[in-house]
Amino acid sequence: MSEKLHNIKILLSEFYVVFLLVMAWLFFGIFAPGFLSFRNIFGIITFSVILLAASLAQNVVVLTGGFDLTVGSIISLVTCVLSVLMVYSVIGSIIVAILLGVLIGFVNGFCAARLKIDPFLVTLSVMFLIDGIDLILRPAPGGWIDKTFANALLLNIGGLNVGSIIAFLALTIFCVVLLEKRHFGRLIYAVGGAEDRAILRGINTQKVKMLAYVLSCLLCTFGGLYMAAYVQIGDATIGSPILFASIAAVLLGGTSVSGGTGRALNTVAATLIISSITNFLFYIRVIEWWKYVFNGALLIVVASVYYWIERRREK
Amino acid sequence: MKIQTIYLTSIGAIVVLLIISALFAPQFLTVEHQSSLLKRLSVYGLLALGQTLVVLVGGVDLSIGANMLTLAIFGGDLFFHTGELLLPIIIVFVLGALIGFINGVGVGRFKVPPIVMTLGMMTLLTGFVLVYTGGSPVGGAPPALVDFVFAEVINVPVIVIVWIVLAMLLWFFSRRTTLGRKLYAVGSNPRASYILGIETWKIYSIAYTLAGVLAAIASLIYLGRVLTPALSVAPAGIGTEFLLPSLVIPVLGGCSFKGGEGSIIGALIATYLYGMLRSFLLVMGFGEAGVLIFTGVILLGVLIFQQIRGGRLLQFRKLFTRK
Amino acid sequence: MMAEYLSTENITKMFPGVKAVDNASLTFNSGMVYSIVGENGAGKSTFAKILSGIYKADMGKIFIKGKEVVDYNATEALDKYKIAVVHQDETLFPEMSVAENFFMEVMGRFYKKGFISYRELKKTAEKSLKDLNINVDVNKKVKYLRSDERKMLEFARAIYYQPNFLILDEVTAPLPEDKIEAVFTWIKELRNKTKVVLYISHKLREVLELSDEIVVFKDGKVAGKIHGSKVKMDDLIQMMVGEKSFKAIFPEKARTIGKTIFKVKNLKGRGIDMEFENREGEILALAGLAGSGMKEALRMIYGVVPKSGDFYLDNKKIKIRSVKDASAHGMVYISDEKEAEELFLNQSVKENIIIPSIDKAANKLGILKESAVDKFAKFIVSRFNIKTPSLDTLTQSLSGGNKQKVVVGRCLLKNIRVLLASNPTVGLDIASKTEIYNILRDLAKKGIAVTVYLSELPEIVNFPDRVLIMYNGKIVDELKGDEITEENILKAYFEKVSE
Repeated sequence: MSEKLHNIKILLSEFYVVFLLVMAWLFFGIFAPGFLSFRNIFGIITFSVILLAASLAQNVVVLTGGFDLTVGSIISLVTCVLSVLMVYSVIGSIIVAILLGVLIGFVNGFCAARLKIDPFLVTLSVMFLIDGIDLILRPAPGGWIDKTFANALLLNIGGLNVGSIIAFLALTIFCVVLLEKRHFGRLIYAVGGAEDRAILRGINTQKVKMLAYVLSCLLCTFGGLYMAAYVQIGDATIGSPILFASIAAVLLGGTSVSGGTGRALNTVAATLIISSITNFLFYIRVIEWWKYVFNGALLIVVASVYYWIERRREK
Repeated sequence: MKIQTIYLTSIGAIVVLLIISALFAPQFLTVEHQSSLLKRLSVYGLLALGQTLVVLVGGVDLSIGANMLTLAIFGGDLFFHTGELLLPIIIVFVLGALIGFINGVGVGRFKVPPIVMTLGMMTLLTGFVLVYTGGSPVGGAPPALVDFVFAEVINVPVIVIVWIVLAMLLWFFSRRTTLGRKLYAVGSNPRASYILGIETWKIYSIAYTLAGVLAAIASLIYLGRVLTPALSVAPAGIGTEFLLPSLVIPVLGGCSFKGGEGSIIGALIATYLYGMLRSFLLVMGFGEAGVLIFTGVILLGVLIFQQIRGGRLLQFRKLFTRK
Repeated sequence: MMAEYLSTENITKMFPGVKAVDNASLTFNSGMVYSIVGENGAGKSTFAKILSGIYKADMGKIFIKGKEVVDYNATEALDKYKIAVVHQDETLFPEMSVAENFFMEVMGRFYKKGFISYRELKKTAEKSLKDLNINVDVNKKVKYLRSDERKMLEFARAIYYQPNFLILDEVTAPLPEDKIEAVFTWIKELRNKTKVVLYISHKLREVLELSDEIVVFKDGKVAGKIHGSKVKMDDLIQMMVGEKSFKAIFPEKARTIGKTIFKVKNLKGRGIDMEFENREGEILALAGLAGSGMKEALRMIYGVVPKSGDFYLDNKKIKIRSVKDASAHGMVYISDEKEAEELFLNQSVKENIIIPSIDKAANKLGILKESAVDKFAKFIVSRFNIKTPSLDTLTQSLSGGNKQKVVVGRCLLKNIRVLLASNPTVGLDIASKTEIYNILRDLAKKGIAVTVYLSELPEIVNFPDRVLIMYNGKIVDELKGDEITEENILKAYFEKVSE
């Protein structure tokens, strides 16, 4: 019996963010009646799909010890590309978007892993590049997104976006399985945790890191498709808030910023926490600006947690 | 040795730009244009100096733009409501230093990763500014400040002199004082610095506090120039239009996010290069999009060039971890 | 059986500015144990990395069982050619479990219906470890293992792949004597199974005990090959270094010991409970089996690790609550992890030398006199024969021995009273070791209290004036003067502890 209890304790400590999520929901439920309704929770999950794609993408890259500042810009890019090209060909424009995603991922990965340039700076430069291209494609928000495409992705049944839930689950399952149960995923942890040792072991660390960046961009492209389905236009700046939120989600989810540790499920939970906060603040009619104070305070809390963890480690 | 290469490259790039300007946009080379360019650059230049100090010590200050803007808004409001000159200036300096100091303590004492700490600070500052102003612009600059900002000495703008003098002082500080050398040491290897008896948290605090003070000076100059600070809120927070150049310029000037590599002079030259490039692009008719693309390409180009030449491994893990 | 397994022909590898391996032509036959000896930078590790596929040779050929093999990577070396290696540097992933570390390169083999079967993984790892009598929990994260446990894990990994050619590079450093015996047994077993073992080590005693043939590397070239049984220690050293005798490596011990300089009483914390004193002119050594607390004790005294205790400098009580206090009292700690804890690799040699004593080159306001900085740096470089192209060269390009000379030599610029050093000559070649010994001996003669943690037996016997043997955080034996012999030390390690 104590073995089972012991295992539960370990699970709880590994996935403490899920625990945090539950606590947050209970807390919100008390202060905002109606928060815990099926409709609302469903809405939160639907709303989070895009952020989840970006956060999981960011998580993969951060696990390798890197950083991806292009996550938001890729989402914007996908909406812009689709909004311009869908008039010509729906399928074609989707293919172009995906190819662009792979290309950008490759560029990021090549510069960061092969040329060994600081990932923060590489993705910062590429982000500038993509933002510029977005503005050329779509100087102002607009364009046209095919409705059949949007409906197929969202799959609205009885007022609920079932398609989004499916996407949410698909993303979660895909990333969790990849990172925990596939060789590539374990290699990401190894390379991120101790790259020089991985090299000594004969692991092709550059290939692993490059693929991580490509994967990140592909996940963001997927998120971008959903963004296009949601807003039904192209917008060069729509992805910017998502970058910031993806970083927050990854940090809140306990992924170590130096690489090597952090569970995907925690990132998923952290994403939901962040979405829930926005939803909750909206629910209790808080003025938009307090969101900033809240987020700032949240980050300070995260900082304190860091301190506490650091102190415990030193003992 | 590596630093010299960066100087040469930056200076070479500047020369190339000057030549191209002479051919295609001769209005560029007039004293008026250069003077107004330098005046505009002084704000960015001061922020870049602050960021350089922080990057040298192995960190990053994502709040520097928000800091400057917050001080400009708050200071402007103080000027407007109190009618005083000296008091608001002192308050602005103290606040700027305080914000920087808090960053420094968070990073140095509490071992919060710099990105997390300064990002949190930026978000907090954004929140307070938005609540304080209610979203609409406030404040104004007193005539004395405006006069100062627009003053010139033998045709050289005073604020540019202030900027250059500060840069020189900081260069001297970073290269010729014990504190400056310790700055480089802590940036290079905080663990070894600690073992050798250096109080690393003090060094972090000094670097971040100085960045805060520089932001304060920049805020006053900014206020004098625009009279009423504009409030544009990006998703991450306010001041990002000032933050991003301050991140790009140190890199162009030879700094490494690894810590312990780079120089104030390099950042100074890079500020001018950056300003020239942007100005050049806008004059040539490239819109915001073009500027973004160019900045991205140039930055990436410089980074790749640095790697091929220097072959060094930029590890930005130091930004995120505290050992 | 004397069948040739692997041979090399004119293997050359160059790094910027230096020929790390120069035309190495060697033959390795099955059923033999070979050793490679030589100074640091002589090319041993580089040669091993070429054989194991981590580096590609610039010139030359490698033959396995008579057939030439070209351009293989480390995974192919393991899989196809059965060449396994246990490196000098650790290759385990601290945040991952023992089981995962075991199979990280080949986890794909454990797929069940497309997903990794962790049960299989753990079972296989457990079995392999049990077969070798290693007692580790396969679920534990590697970072929680002791350094000797980690080394044994690396062994088990290499042996799991049933190599025909096993390379061991300086593997006994973190191991206690009993584990070293176990390793030697395995090596001999492999030999009996007609495998090849390539043993790279500085520990000449072990080399002489194990080897059938000894290869000496000097400046990247093969300087000589001798049969293990036919050589004496002194001859070996001469081939490597030019010194005639082992004894010439160590400076003379102290003739007169003065009064007590530094006293430590009631040092408690983390399982440590000890006290000792260090006298003028005396070099005091702490020794013992790995994990007994020698390194811990030094770090505690210096203030890196919290502890309680009473400290006396020149018979006056002093407070050491933190590293700052220790440093202020003139204490210096030389860590055995110089790259992580002592050096600023991307700064110049001049900088690394001057930083600890930077206040000396400045006036009251903190403004530096560059000429003073240069003078001090030049002095240390010439005094200790630090080989560097210039004072402005980045420290990362110095060899290991010269790096350590910077770390130890720069202490001379400070007004130090107490020097604590943890394995100050670990991993260094003999010439560098000698220089470090001389530096430390000089400091002791100057009246500085020198306390060192040593782990290599010849060092413990020949260098210090007094040895304190520790076990489980406590001092169990003290040897001085003529009492310091290998026999007595080993006795103290193994017999005294059970008393």
